[in-house]
Amino acid sequence: MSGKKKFMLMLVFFTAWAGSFLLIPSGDALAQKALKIGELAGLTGGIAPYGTQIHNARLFAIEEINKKGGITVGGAKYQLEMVFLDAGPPAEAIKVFERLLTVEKVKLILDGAYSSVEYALGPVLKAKEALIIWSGGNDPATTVGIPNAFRNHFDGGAPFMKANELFLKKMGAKKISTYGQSGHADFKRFVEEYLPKIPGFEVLSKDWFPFGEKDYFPILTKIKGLKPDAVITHGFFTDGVTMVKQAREVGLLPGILWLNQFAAAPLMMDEASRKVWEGTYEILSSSLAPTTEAPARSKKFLEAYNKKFGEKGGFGGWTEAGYDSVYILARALEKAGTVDDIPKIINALHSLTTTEIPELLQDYKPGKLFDKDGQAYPKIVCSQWKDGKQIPVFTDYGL
Amino acid sequence: MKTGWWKWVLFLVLGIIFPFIGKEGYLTHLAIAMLIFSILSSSLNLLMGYTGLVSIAHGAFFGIGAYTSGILMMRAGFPFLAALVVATAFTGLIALAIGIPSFRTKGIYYVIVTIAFQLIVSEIFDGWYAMTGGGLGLRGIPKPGQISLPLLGALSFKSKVGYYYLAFVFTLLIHWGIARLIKSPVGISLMAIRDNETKALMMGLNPLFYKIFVFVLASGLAGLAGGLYVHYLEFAHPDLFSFFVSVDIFLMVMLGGAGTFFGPPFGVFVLEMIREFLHEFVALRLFIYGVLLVVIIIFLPEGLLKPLTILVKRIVPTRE
Amino acid sequence: MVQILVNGLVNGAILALIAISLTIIFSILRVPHFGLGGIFVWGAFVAYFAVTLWKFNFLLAMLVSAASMAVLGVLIEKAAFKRLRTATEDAMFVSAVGVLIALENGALLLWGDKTRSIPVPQLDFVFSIPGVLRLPAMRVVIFVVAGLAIIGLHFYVKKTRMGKAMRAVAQGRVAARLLGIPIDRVASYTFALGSAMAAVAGALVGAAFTFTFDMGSLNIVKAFVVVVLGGLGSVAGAIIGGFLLGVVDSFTLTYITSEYKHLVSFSLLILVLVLRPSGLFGQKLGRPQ
Repeated sequence: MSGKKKFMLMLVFFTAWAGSFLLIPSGDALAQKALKIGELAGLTGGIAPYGTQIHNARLFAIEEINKKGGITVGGAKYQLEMVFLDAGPPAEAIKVFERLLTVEKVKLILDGAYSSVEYALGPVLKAKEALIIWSGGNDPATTVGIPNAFRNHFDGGAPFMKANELFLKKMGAKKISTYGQSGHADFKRFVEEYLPKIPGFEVLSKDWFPFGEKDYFPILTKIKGLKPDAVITHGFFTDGVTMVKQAREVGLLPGILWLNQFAAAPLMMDEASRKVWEGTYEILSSSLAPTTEAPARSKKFLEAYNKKFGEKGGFGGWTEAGYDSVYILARALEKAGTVDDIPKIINALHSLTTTEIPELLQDYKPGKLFDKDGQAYPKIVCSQWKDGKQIPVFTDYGL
Repeated sequence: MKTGWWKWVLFLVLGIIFPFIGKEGYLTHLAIAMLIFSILSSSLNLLMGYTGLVSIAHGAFFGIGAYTSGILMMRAGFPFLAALVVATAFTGLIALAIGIPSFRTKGIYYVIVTIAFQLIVSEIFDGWYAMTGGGLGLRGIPKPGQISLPLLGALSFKSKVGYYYLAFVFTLLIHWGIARLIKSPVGISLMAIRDNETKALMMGLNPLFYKIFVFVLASGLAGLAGGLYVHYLEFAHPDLFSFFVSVDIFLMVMLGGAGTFFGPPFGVFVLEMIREFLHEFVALRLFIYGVLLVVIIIFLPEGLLKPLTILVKRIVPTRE
Repeated sequence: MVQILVNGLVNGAILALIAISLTIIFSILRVPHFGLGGIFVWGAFVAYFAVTLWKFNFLLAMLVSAASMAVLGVLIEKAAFKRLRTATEDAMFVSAVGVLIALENGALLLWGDKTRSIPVPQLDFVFSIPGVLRLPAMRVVIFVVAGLAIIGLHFYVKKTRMGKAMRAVAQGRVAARLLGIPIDRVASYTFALGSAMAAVAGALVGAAFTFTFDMGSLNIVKAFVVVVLGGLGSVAGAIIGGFLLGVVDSFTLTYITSEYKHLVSFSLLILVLVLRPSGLFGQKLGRPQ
C-alpha cells in the first residue's frame, strides 16, 4: 500500500478512535427524575445462559414498576432506569464495577454473574459508597464480612449442601460418585469436605471435567464400574447435556440416582436436549416457575416473560431471583425514604420482612428476608425430568 | 538516546500529572492496569521482538508471581517489597526450569511448548484449591502499607492515586532497564540471534545462554507485574492468568509493533482503547473485536506505532 | 480396557481430522490458521440446519457443510490472509485469532448459545460386546468418515495436478512461483480443502456429541498441539499424533487423574518434543523465506 494511502487510513482510524471517546457516557442523569440502577450483567461466556435470564427478569420487573408509575421515595416519584454492562469474568467485572461507580455514577447495583466475581468485588465494594444485591452465583458466604453486599440467590454453602444431603438420604442413596466441573470451588468443598463427613454416605470417587469437555466416556465408564447408588454432577448445563447423553450411551443411565447441579430448565435448551435428561434430578434451583407445579403468580410471570423475550429468553430456575431483586431494592428504597443514603438503605434492607414484599416470586424463609450477613434463604427446589418437563419432588430451606 | 527522546518526556509528563485528571476514579484504575500490562508486553517483546522467541506462556508467569507474592504477604506475613522480590525470583527460577529443556525446540515447536506449559499452570491454579483457592480465587490480599518519604510526607498506597504512583515508578524503572539492555552488547547479541542463529553461533556467541537469560528475565518481570497486580486488586483468580491472557499480551505486542521499544506499551493502550470503544456494543462486542483484529493486522502488520510516528512527524516535523 | 482404548481412538479421530486441516494449511502456506476452530463450529451449525430445517439426511448434510465451508474458507483466505503472505507468521497468527473470535461470536449472534446436537435417528443404536465394549453407532461413523477423508486427501495430493502444485509450494514458495505455479489458486484450494475437513469434523462432533458456538477455541489449541507433536508438514504425523493424544488422554482420565489431565498429557508432550524437537515425523525447520 502506498505511503499516502497508509497515511489517509491512519488519519481516519485515529479520528474515529478519538471520536469514540465522545461515546463514553458522561454519567449525568437526564433532567427527569430517573433513578439509575447499575447491573453487572453476565451476558457472554459460559455464564451467559444464567446471566441472561436474570438480566431479562430485571428488565421485566423495572418495566412493570415504571408502568405503575415508578417508585415513591421520600415524597418524590422516580422512574427506574437500568444501566448495565457485561461483566463476565472477574477481571472484567472489577473494571465494569469501577466504571459503573465513577463514570455512570451509580450507587445501587445488581449482579448476576460468576461467584468468583462476587468474591473479587467483596473487598473493593467494602470501601465504596455503594451497595450490591447478587442474584446469582453459588459460592458460600460471599456476603459475609461485606456489610454493603446482599444476596437473594440461595447460599451454595451450608444451606444448599444440607438440601442435597436431605434429598439423598430421602432417596436412600449410600454410595456416591461425583463428577463436577474443575475450578468450581463450591462443589469442590462439597465433595471434599462436606460429603465424606456425613455418616451413612460413602464417597466412591470424585472426578472433574474442564469446561467445554466433549468426551465423558472415560470417567463415566470408570464410574459405571464402581457401581454407585447415586452420581452428583455440577457445572454449566451446556456440558451437562453432553455428559448425561453419554451416560446413557455408556449404560450408566437409567438405573441409578442421577442428581444434577446444573441449574438446567426446559426453556433453556432445545427439545432434543430436554429428552436427554429424562429421569434425572435437578437441584440447583430455588424456583418452582419452570416446573409443572408452578404457583399461579409464577405461571403468569413465565407466560409474560416468554411473550416479551421469546425463544431466546431462556427462562430457567434463576429467573425469578432476578425479578425479586428489583422489587427488594425498590421496597428498601421506599422504606428508607432516600436513594442516596447508603447506610439508611442498608438498614432498610435488613429490616425487610417477606410479607412487606408481596411481589416476591420465590419462596423465602418467612420472617426477615436477610440474615445478619445479608444472605436470603429461598427454598431450594429439587425436581425430576419427565417427558421434557420438570416435576418437583423435594423442597427445603436447607437450614 | 537522541531520536525519540520526546516520547520519554511525553510519557513522564503525562504520567506524573495523570492522577490529577483521573483522581480516584475509573481512569486511574485503567491507568494502573495499563502500566502493569506495559511491563508484561515490554518483557514479552524482549523475548519476541528482540530475540525472536514467541511465548504464549507469559500469562502463566504473570500468575505464578501474582499468587506467590499474594500468598507470601497474606499467609507468611512478608512485607510488600520482600514478597515482590521473592515472587519475582521464584518465577525466574521456574522459568529456568522450563527454559533449559525447552530450547531444544525451535520455531513453532517452541511456541507449542510454551502453550503446553501455560495450560499446565492454568490447570494447577484451578485445581490446587488449598493453595490458590481454585475457581473461587484468593481474596484478601493486602495492599502495601505506608512509606514515609522525607519531602512528600507519608504516601499511602491504599488509595488508587498512591498505588498509581507505585506502579508508575516500577514501570518507569523497568523500561529504563530494558532500554539500557537493548543498547548493551547483550541486546545486540539477542538481536543477532533473532536474525540468524547459525551466523550468531559462528560469530562466537552462545545462543543457548542468551536465550535462557532473556527467557528468565522476561518471565521474572512478568512475575513482578503479577505481584503488583494482585496487591492492587486484593484478589487473585486463575482467569486473570489464563491462556487467553497470554494471547492478549501477545496481541498487545503485535498491535503496537514487535521489536520496537515503545510499540508494546502503545499496544497496551490500543487494545484497551479498543475494549473501551467496544463496551458500547454489548452483544456485538466480541464479534467486532475479532473483525477489528483482522482489519488492523492486514493493513498494519507491523503494528500501529510506526505509522503513528510517521503521522506525527508529518504534522510536527522534527530534525532526524 | 478395550473400551478405554476405543474411547481414545474415537476422540483421536476427531483431533486427527482437525489436525490434518491445520497441517496442510500450515505446511503449504505457513498460516497458523486458528480460525479453523471457527469453521469447525460453523460446520456443525450448517449440518444441523441442513438436517433439521431442510430435512436432509446426515450424509448429505455433511457434504453441504463441507462445500459451504470450503467456500467460506476461500473467502477468509482472500480477506484475512492474502495480504499477509509476506508478513511474519506472528502477524498471520493475529489475523487467525481475529477470524476465530469473529466466527465464534458471529455464530453466537446468529444462533444463540443453546447447546444442540444433530439428530441422526438412523444411527441411534449402540454396538455392544457385553463386558468389553459399548460404542454408539455414530462414533463408529466418525472412524469411517475420518478414514475416508484421509484416504481421499492422500489420493488428491499424490495424484492430481493441484495436489502436486500444493506439494511444490510447501517445499519452496519462491521456486514454485518460478515454475509458474499460481500461488493464489493453490492458496484457495488449500484453504478450501482444509476448511472442508474441519467442517466435516464439526458435523461429526455435532452429531456424536453436542455442539455450542464456543467449542472451537478449545479444540483448535489441542489440534495445534497434535500437529506439532506429529511433526509439521507430516499428514501421517498429524494422524498418529491425534490418535496418540486421544488415547493418552483416555488412559490418563481413567487411571491417573481427571483433575490434572493437562498436567499429565502436556508434560508428556513436552517430553516428546524435548527428545524429538521436530515432532515424531517432522522435517527440520528452516526459517522460511
